[in-house]
Formats: sequence, C-alpha cells, structure tokens
Amino acid sequence: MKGGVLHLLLPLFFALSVFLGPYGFIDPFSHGLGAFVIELRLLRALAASLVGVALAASGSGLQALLRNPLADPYILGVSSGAALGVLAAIAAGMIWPLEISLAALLGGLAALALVMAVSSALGLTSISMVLVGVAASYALSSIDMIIMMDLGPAVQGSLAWLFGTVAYALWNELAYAAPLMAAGAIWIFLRAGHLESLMLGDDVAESMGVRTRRLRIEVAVASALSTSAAVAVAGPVGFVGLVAPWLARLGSGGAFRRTYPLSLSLGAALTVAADLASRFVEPGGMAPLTSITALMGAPVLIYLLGRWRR
Amino acid sequence: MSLNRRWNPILVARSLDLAYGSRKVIEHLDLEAYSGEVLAIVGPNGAGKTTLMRAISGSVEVGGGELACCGRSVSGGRLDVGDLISYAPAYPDVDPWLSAMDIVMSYRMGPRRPWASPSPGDVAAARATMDRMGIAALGRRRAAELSDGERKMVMLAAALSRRPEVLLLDEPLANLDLRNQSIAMAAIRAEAGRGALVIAASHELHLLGLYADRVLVLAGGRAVAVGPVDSILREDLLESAYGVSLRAERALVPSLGPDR
Repeated sequence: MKGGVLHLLLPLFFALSVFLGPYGFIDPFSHGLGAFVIELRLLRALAASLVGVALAASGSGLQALLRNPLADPYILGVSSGAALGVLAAIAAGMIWPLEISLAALLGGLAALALVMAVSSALGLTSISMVLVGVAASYALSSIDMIIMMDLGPAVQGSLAWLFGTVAYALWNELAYAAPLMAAGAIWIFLRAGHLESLMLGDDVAESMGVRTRRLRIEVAVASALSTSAAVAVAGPVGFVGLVAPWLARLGSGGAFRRTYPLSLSLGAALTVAADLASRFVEPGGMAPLTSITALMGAPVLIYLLGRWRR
Repeated sequence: MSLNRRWNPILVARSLDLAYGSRKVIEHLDLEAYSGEVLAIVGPNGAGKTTLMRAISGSVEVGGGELACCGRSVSGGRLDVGDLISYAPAYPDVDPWLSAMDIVMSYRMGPRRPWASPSPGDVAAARATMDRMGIAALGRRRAAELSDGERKMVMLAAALSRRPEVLLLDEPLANLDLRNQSIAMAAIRAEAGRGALVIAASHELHLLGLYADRVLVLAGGRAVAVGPVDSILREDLLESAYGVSLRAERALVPSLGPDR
C-alpha cells in the first residue's frame, strides 16, 4: 500500500490552509479578529476540500465509464453547463442556495446529456467523445461569459466565481451543496464493482450481467450531480477531476475500488493547496482557482503522460 | 461425466435468429451442446461466430426462436446467465491501467458489491490459474505493457478463474506462440474435463483435432455443418464454406500442454 501515504497530503494542506494566509500565522485559539480570520480560513479549506472531493469523484467516474483517462467534468463541458445553469438562475432573479444548486444540476446534466447524445448519434468512440465535450465546453463557457458581462457588476464576486474560487463560499451554501456532492460520490462508489467489470470491456461486463448502458447513465448522472454541486459553490474549477484520478492510479494501481478513495483524498488535497497558493499569488486571494490548478496540474499531467508512455 | 449430463444439453438453440438492428447475422440456427465437451465454431469472417457467443453471454438480444443455457431460456430479449458463464473476447478492450492480477481478480469477483473483498480463496484461485497458464510472472504488469499474446493469456486465465459452467472463448489461440497455444489448448481440455462446456471460435483449423470434440461450421449466418472434428475437416465442406480451394500440407502442431 505505497499509495496510503498520499492520504496524508489532505490533512497537511488543510492545516496549512487554516494557519497560513496573507495575514500570516494566526494562533487557532485566539479571540476577536484572529478567531474571525480562522473561521474564514476554515470555511475556505472545507469548501475547497468538498469541491475537490466532488470533482475527483466525478472525474474518476467519467474516466472509468468512458475508459478514457482524458475524461473530466471540466473538459466534457459539465462544469460550464452547471455554471450556465447558475448564471441563468441568477439572471432570472433566484438567490436561494437550493435554487442555485438545482439550477447548476440541471445545467450540468443537460450539458452531459447533450455531449453523450451527440457522440452516440454520430457513433463516436470515447476518444472523439472527449473532443465533442471540448467543443461543448468552449461553446458553453462563451455563453457563460456573455451572460456574465451582462450580469457582472450586479453580483459581487461573480466574475471571480466564473473562473473558480472558494473565497466567496458561505456556510449555508456548503450545507446545501455538501449532501449533493456526497450523494454523487457515494453513488459512484456503490457502482465500483460494476465499473471494475466495465473496465474489462463492454462485452465482458455484459457477459457478467452488467447492463452497461444503464450503468453509464447512472454514473454520468452521479458525476453531473457532484460536479454541479461543486460548481454552485466554487464555479467551474478545472484539472482537479483530471489529475486526481491519474495520481491515484499511480499511487495504488488500476482497480477502481483501490484508486477511488485515494482519488477523492488527492482531489481535496489538490484543491486546498490550490486555494492556499491563490492567496499568495495575488494578495486579495482573488487569483482564479482554475489558473492555479492548471498551473499545478499541467506539468503533473505531462509528467504522468511521459511516464505512462515508457 | 455422468450419463445424465451427456443426455441433457446445457446449451440449446432452436431456430435462433440474431440481428444488429435490421442486419441479420444468424438465421434459424439449431444447436445443442453438452457439459464436458469442447465445441469449436469455425467459419469465414463475418459468419456470426462472435455474435452467437455474445448472444449466449447475454450481450446480444435474441431476435427470434429460442436460446437456452444453464437451465434459463429466452425467446426474446437477453439471456441472463452472467453468474454461470465466462466470456473472453477476441480483442480484449481492457483499461490500460489494470494490472494482469487486477484483470484476473475482476473476472473472478464479477460485478461485486463495493465492500466485498476477495477472500484468501479467491486470491489463491486467481494465483493458481495464472500459474497454470504460465503467466504468474506478469501479475504486476499493466495491460498496456503486455504484448497482444500476453494479454490474450491473461484474459484466458481470467475467464478460467471464474470456474464457469460455460466458457465462451473467442479466438483463444490467436496471437499466441506455439508454447502458449499448447498451454491454452491443454487448459481448454482441462476445463471440459472438469465438466464445463467450452465454446471456442477459431481460425486455427489445423489445431481443432487437438482440443475440440465437435465443430460447428457457420457461413453466411447459417449452420453449414456440425459434428465430430473428423467429419468436418473435409476439403469439399470447408472449400464451400470459405470459398477458397484447399490442399493438404504437412503442418507442425504443438503438443497438448508444454513439456516443461
């Protein structure tokens, strides 16, 4: 179990994230302003952890069901679709966290359904399906931008949200989003055995009594569920869902039941670390999370691809 | 083998039709197969060999007629015998990250509940099968790092590790070297010996006599002939099935099971 050690990254980054920031080290047992800063940092660290878990769950599920290591909710357009749902809801005057979460879910599901329907209508393989996702992702984020330009100044922090941030997370938002994220992640875990059969090939899985079409729809819905809840809190955050499952496979081999828990923990660690870094890249702590995850994730991904080729 | 088992076929097809959408692949097929025998399916590419095996494995719907296996039968929809059969495809499409051991264990365990861990017995069975197939050393190698032949041996070991009542092997000898062909054929005989029905689609006609009991010749979606190997390996019959003229040549064939 050489991968077990990697689980320690999450508590490490979480602690750093609570103790460190632009205001320096703060004694966790302080009162007054110190206690306030600690609470804010705790909220951010918790939000980042949950978002990371949700994205890693979604990425792991999508990669397993497409048997394609390049699948990820950001690349497949699920995140942009969920963001579109949120923006549409805000434009329509909805403000309650539950409404926002549901709107995100509808947007995310619609985007994934669109990508899957188009790919299946064109009879595409899972590799070209990722390309359909990339196309959808670009198109949807463009619409997101256009709505945002209309909406931007009215909603404080919304522009930062569109580029991914947990700086504006609220306790009550988390309270609504966390159960949805957990539901998606647990749902995927409950299908781990079926996904392991699917990883042997569609025909083999079918021969073992797995109905692959139903499994794909289930896991896709679960992935969209956890991704949209993450988007509702932190906006579309890229690279976590892509890189965390890769790192987990490297740490603990290929079998889904072994990589999945590690993937979730690494996804959380990665997002918390990215949020921590974002506070120092730009003093207000407003550096977009996606730009940090991409900066951290891109070299990791290239390293992994290179290692894998050999 | 008890007489009773010989008399009751474990697999029955009656006037079976199989199709992908409107494209008919198998038409009016009648077939009976028994526990403890090796039934080889031969025929030109596109004759319906794989489709027939996929129908028995439950991934292709029965279009017409009746298909029964392991005491369950359907005359429409899909056969559901996932717990009793094992299928190894001709071209494995496994996740490149899975190790050989992962593949064998995933086969052995099937679509388990996520908290069901393999018992020591499962691990021992998986190891023993890999050992028997001569691939114990490949256990930690990932699928992407295996050669086509090695991957084929891993898939065969994986399929065997389920100890099924019906073993469906699509081109089990393709891509294998002489030694691995010998190991695979011996394993196929051993499976039949313990009482399983083994159905193997194959293009290695010169090896049929070594491991098969009966042969089904499919051509154009229809059963051209079915019977003992000797009655099938006839020039006229194969020439008309494959549409190519044949002549006898001396062939070197491996023994059933390697020497060392």
